[in-house]
Amino acid sequence: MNPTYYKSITGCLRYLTCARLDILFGVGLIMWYIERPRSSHLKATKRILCFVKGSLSYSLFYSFSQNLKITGYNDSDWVGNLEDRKNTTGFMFYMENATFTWSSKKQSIVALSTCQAEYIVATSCVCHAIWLRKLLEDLQ
Amino acid sequence: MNVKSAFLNGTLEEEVYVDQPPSFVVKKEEKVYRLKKSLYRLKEAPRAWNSIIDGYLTKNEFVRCPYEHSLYVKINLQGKVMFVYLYIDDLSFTRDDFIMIQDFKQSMVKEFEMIDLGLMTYFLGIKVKWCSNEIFISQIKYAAEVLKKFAMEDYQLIDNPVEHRIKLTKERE
Repeated sequence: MNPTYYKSITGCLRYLTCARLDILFGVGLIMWYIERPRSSHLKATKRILCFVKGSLSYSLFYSFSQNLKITGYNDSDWVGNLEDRKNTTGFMFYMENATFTWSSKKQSIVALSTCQAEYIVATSCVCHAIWLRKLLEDLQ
Repeated sequence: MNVKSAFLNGTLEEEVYVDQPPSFVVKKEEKVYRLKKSLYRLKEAPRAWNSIIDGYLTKNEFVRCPYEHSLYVKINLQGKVMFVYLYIDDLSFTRDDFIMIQDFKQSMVKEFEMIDLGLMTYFLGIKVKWCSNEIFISQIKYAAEVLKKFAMEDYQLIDNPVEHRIKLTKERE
């Protein structure tokens, strides 16, 4: 298969995650194989495109609110990547009912237990929360 | 608002020389030009432009947010707030007070050659739809372009992006 073609699709999908957090994990998954893509990877990529096709009208909704309380959620998977045995961190933050910042990223170290994996996720989530708090304090 | 030919506004601190342009060569002289202002495709151009716009905003009592470097905040004497978000040569802004925006636009137009694009509706492939107190943000147009580019017209629709418990590997299967 032509790696350039694969890279061009994944690149387009990567930019699409700006406002489409529902495909973020899937895009992360297919991005691991941009060096030497196989047909199974292209199949997964096409599946995301099919999903996007069926959900074109999805948008993020923000409405006026006085409530500025922020809530964050995080989780980790377990050995998402079979080759390097690393897990994927995922977190997102809500203000009232609207999500405004999110992330899905493979962890940089190998966790030896599910407990450790959860700690790694919690740490990156809290780092982000601290940054958010500082930003909001500055804006006040 | 968008700044026209933004990079040409930058002033160079480094010594940069260019050859004489092909259509404007003085044959007798074997000379090159030394640039005072920046040109497009120059390594230094983005930095030079950012220094200019940063200097300008700082001079106008905007404070750069230390946690988000492209965000500038101004609080005037009446306690009204204005935010300016800078993306290379595009400025998007919001405010408490309408007069503040008018003043800002006027002074910007004096300093740089600007285009006022009005209310933000489409920015970097992201569509913004305004309804009174509500905003919808989507990439519907960009997504449609991507689907067209990769000829996805005949594919069927799927209601989830990733197969359940999928395990991809590097190996040839």
